Amino acid sequence: MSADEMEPRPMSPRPAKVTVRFDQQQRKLLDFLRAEKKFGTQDGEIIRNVVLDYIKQQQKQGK
Amino acid sequence: MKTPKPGKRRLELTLQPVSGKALPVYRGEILRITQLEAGQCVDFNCFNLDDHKEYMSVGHMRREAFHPGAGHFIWSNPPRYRPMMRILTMPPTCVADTLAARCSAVIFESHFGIDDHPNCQDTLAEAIGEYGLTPDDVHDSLNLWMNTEIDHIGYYTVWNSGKAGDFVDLMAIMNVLAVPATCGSGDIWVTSSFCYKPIKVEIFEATAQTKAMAEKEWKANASLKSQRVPKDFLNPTIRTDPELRPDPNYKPRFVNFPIEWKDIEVVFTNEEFMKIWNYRGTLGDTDEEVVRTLFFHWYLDNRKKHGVRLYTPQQAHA
Repeated sequence: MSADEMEPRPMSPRPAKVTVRFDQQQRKLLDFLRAEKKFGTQDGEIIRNVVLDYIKQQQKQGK
Repeated sequence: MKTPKPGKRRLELTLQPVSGKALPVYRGEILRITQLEAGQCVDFNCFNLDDHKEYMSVGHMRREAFHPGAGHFIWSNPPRYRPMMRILTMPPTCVADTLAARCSAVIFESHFGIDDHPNCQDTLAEAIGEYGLTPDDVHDSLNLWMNTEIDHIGYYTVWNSGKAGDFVDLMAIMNVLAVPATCGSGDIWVTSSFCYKPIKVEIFEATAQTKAMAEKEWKANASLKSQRVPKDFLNPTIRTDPELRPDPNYKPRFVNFPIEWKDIEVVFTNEEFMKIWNYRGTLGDTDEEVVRTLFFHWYLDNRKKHGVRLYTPQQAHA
């Protein structure tokens, strides 16, 4: 996607809800993480916490 | 090489995720594989329709190119080592991999602790079962739309660059049983950008031009004395009937077919969402792609096990 095709970066509060499609195998990984009890209990909560942890790891590595 | 015009279309079908189909393609016919959406890796196997002991050798294709493209042949295994098909069309957005072999159930159990994950070994085995072939007859795939890159430690895979409408044309030089399959690794691996998509498969009849071209290629590339066939073998007896015939009552049992999708709502604060937005254009074009990719990058970095090890899911995630 070229830069002029991209949506403008949101500068003010906007609904920050993202719907993500997972298949049954991908959801098994969520079950594994749920069992760890570190990332939450609900699917959406686990995905959110994992995504934020990844961004944090990247920032720590200076990426 | 001048690309010939395909003949009349005689077959069109959609391959849903984690499925495959064994299709006879006769000399001079063209098999077309098309991306219906974008970024779906396609595993491909190929047999001589009249002698299943002759089949594609990706290892020998690799001798010509790590990433074969238009003009390259699909070669068969030695001692035959003959051209089976010719790649007529392959867009730059289709990287054809010869390095990654094929995914199998063992990889997913050892890396993720999932012992029933769809995989190309099992999908291809189910597809060729229609012709009486067994899982042992599956061979290393030519991996279409699989962006492998090579570095100092070997190879790795990056985001799939396939675009909707991309197609690859393969012309049969001999009568073949062609087996395209939608790759089973794509939902939890970057191979298909962490999401399965369907693909379209078509076969176009031979024309006078394609027949002549196939005949010419055959004469030029399949006449060496060293290209031995069973009549040249010390022991020419093949233990099973070499002619492949379909079983009309055959019902394939693809692993976890059809895929069951679930929409999951993920809520971020505006500040968190701004950080996610920064990955737009590099890890995906939509919010969904970016979030899913971030999730799986984390998973691969933090939970994927390396190497073939046997353990239970509980041990894997302890």
